[in-house]
Amino acid sequence: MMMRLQFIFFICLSLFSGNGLFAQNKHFIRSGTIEYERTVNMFALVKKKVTKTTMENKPLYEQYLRTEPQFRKMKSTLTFGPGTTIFSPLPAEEVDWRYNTSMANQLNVVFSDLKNGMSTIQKEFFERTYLVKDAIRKIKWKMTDETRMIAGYNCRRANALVLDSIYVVAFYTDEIHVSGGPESFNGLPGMILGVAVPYENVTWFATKVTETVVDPQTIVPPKKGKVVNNKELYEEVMKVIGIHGDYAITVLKGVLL
Amino acid sequence: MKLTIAVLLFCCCFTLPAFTQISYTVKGLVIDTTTNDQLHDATVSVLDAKDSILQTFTYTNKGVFNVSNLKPGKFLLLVTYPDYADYSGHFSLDEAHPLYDFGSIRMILKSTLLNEVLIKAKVAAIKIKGDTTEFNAASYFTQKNAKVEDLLKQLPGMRINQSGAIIFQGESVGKILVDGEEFFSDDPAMVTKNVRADMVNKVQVYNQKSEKAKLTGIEDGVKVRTINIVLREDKRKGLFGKAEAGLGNDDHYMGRAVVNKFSPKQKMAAYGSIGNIGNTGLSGDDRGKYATGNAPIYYGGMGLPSSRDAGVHYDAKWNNDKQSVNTDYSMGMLAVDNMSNTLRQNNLPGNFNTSNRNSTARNKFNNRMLVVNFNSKIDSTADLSAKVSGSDGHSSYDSQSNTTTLRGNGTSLNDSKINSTSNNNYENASASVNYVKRFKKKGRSISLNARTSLNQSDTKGYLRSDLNYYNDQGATDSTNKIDQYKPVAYRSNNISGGFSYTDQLAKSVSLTASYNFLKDASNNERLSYNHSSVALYGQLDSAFSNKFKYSNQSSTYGISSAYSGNKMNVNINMNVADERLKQTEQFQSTLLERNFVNLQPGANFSYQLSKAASLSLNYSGNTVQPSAYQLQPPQQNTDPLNIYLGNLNLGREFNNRLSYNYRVYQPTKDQGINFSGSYTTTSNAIVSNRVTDSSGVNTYQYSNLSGKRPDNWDVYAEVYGHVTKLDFLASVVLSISGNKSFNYINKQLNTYRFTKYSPRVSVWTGKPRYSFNIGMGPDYVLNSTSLQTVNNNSRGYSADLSNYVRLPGNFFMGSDLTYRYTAKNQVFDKGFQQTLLNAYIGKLFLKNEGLKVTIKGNDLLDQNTGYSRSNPDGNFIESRYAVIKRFFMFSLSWDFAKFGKSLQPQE
Repeated sequence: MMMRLQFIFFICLSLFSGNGLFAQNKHFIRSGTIEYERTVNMFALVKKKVTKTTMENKPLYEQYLRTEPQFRKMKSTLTFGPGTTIFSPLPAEEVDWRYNTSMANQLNVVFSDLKNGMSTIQKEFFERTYLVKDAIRKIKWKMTDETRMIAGYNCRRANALVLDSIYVVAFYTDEIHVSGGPESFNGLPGMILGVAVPYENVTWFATKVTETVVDPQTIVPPKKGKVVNNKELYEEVMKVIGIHGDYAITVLKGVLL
Repeated sequence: MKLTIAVLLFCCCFTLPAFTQISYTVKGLVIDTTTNDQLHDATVSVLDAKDSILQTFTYTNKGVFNVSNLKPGKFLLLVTYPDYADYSGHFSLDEAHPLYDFGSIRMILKSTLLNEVLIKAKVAAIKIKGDTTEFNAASYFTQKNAKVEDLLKQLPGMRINQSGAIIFQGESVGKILVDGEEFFSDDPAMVTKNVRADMVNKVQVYNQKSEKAKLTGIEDGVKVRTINIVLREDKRKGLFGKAEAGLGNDDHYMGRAVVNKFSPKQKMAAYGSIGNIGNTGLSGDDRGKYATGNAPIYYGGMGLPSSRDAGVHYDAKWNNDKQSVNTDYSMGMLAVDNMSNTLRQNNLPGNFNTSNRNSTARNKFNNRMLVVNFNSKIDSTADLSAKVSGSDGHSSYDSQSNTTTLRGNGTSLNDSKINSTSNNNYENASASVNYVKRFKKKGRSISLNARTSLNQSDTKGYLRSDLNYYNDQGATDSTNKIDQYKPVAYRSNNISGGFSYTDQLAKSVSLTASYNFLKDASNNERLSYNHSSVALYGQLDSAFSNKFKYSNQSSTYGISSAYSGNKMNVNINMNVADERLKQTEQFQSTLLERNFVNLQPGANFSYQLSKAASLSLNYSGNTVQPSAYQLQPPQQNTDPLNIYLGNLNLGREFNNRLSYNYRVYQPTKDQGINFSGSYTTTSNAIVSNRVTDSSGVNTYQYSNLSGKRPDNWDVYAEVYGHVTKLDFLASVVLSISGNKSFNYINKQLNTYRFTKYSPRVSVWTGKPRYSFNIGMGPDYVLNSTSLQTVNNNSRGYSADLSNYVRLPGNFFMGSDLTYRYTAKNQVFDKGFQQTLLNAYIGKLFLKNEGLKVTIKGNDLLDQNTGYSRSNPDGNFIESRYAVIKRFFMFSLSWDFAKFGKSLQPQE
């Protein structure tokens, strides 16, 4: 009796959802532009300036809490075609030098050649500019079954550790068939529309996705700067930030992420 | 030529490794399950089966995918396509099987998806892991200062019915925990009306195993539906609470406060409540919705109350949470003034008499209780738990009643005037300890338990009664006057202990054997002293004095076997108890000695038919031995019109109970079916024999019934769901219950039949800014006794409606209405009709809306009267009693909360 009732239920439900019964072959995006917004939690970043050896920064931090906003937001765009992407930050207001830190800024213009696995990054480092040419970052993504909507796209969550120790949460959509993302994040089965680096207090989320025909000629690597590879860059950076003492690791993460 | 050789060599060099190195490949075809269309550009990802690390991915070409260059190992294939439910499947590749072909992977559109696969789209809001449903509280919006109760109302599948019980997916919730810990001994109101909704991170609902199953790790088929409130990390440390005070006309008042201090390792809470509108603890209103057996005082809705109560809770964990203590202390005072009128039809063979009783009573209770639980994990294989509880109190009772009894033809039979007062003091204490040791072999464990308790009570009572009997002509036949002092002293102690041994026979089959011993000893002294001219109440009336010495020793041997599989659970058990009962009475020098062997077989079966549907069947049988009271009752004259005699030859009765429960719940649509029922029959039933003499005195004695079996049964069917796109839930319920019972009246067998049909339709919705629910339905009762030609059939109707709405400018208002109608019938010549309307309006103040001003009107139509009908021993009874009537109240409440400051908002 109840089995039969259940069967009737099933039939009724199938009838009511009739318009959903026919598979439409979905349209997938292969080129276009994405606007991202980077949000950093300045309260947390400024607090990191107060370390055991730099307790004198504490009043500075307390003043920041009283006078400045908690979140700093910056915009950027990603232009992508079937095999290449270019990520470029838009100019943003400068942070007062006393509170400034590498993680609070957008330092990179990133060109990724996804087909050949190469990238060219134009990186601002204090007054210097480097042009880092190396293989694109290989990330071991751990997939989850959590999903959320970003900019109107259903995205799946994946977690990873990058630069050996930084925990990253990314959300990608399988409706954009380009394996890229903001900054140097890539390698998922679709476009990354959101990234959160919780312990570094920074997130990127797409605010707008536009599908356009992109002339492959316009996606070209940046040219300015001293040409180095990742290893050379690391050595150069380490030489400079050694003077920051126990804050050096924080600077390093901001520069390399 | 040279070139050709070079090319050949070159080719060989590159193709040779290909012979030794196998290409590991997975392939398949992705299609729509209903149309068989091949899905182009579906995303196919290959994950490591162990840690879900993405290995590689591809997109299908017209449905076809082929992923090569994999390494050998175990993998998970994940196929996704917009608007379709995810597909995932395991596969492994090794040298023997370098190619895995999934064949056709059939994808299902989310919109056509039923419950075979759960929708992932809302996975952030609801997660279903095995038996546990987990709600992410942040996905549900509640008002500022909302409590857990308001959050629960928003969760799909969860509802709170008219009587306040929390029901999840059609099953009622038996327990609410906070972070896995008990809080105020399971009084749900202390959680639902106290803990703030903004403190909640997750709400988990699961079936908890019984305490015993938890300790031994073996299923015993007993499940308790439990809600666990998981607090947000940043709200585990803080101070919060609420204070409320109200003043009304006609001296109505109430006050209530609760304060909590939480930290990650300990929780403290205290509450206090005072008033005369029936508020006790944190229960919201005069109906005492949530009151459980643990409340120190409980107002049941009869009479006019005045109450004070207070309590504290403390729990703490230490030593890496290996040891924990959980303590509740509560005290309360309740005074109730009651006036009542009872109409009663005593059915006799071919005749009846009617009585009308008016009484006034004042009851007063004072109670204190303390419960301490201690748990310790001695090591990873052994647990020790101990519980100590104690309570004491004082109660007093003062009542006066006038009863007149008429014969069926309207002439007077008797009348009585009884005044009784009593003062009682009591103390109870108990201690228990439980030790469980699990062995290395999985499923093997031994548990030991011991318990002792002491109870004592002393009562000093006075009875004055005047009774007049009348003959057929209406003239006084005889009179009976009593003026006695009646002290009662009761002491009892019992000791019990036992052990059980559980072993796993096969992978999912376990066997438990247990033995328990109980020794119960008590002394019960009931004395009666007559008022004499020489000394005030100095003359012992031995006819109505008793000194009982009672002892009971029992040994219970039990064996049970359980099978627990993925979809099916079966439990079969049998207990045999050997009881030795001994009772001596010193005044009459009587000795009662009886030995009983009691059987208690049982079987439970549950089966998960599909993800949405489950079925359970239960059987239980038990021997019920006659009580000492039925065998040898004390000789009493407290109610001279109703006298009880013993029957030393009374035997045991045996009950058989069969029940089933079929449940369907479809989370994607939030709809379901509940279909349950039960049937109980008793053989060799103990039934009452009433002899009513010509002067209207009832004498009762019990005997076993042979040849006939009383039974009772019920059927409950409910279908609920979202009928339209409008956001409300509707349910249709049909419940039918019936019973057949027997008793002897003046030596003639009387068969009593009762059947009640009550269909009901309800509609409700619960949103933060508004909520309403409406329920209504008729009921029809068929009720007759074989010795009477008139029947007590009745029909009635009931409806209830409640609503709440937030208005602009931080105003809010709401009301609830209850309508009841019972028609007059052949027995009762007056029908009953009542409309109760309560309404309130108020405004919220402060930025956090923490301050609330409310004006409430209780019983606006001034129609509240206590009313009930019942049918004990084949009689028809209707009572009316005093209740809280119309009043208006102005109240002020303040919610406060302070938590440890967090710099980062929670993601």
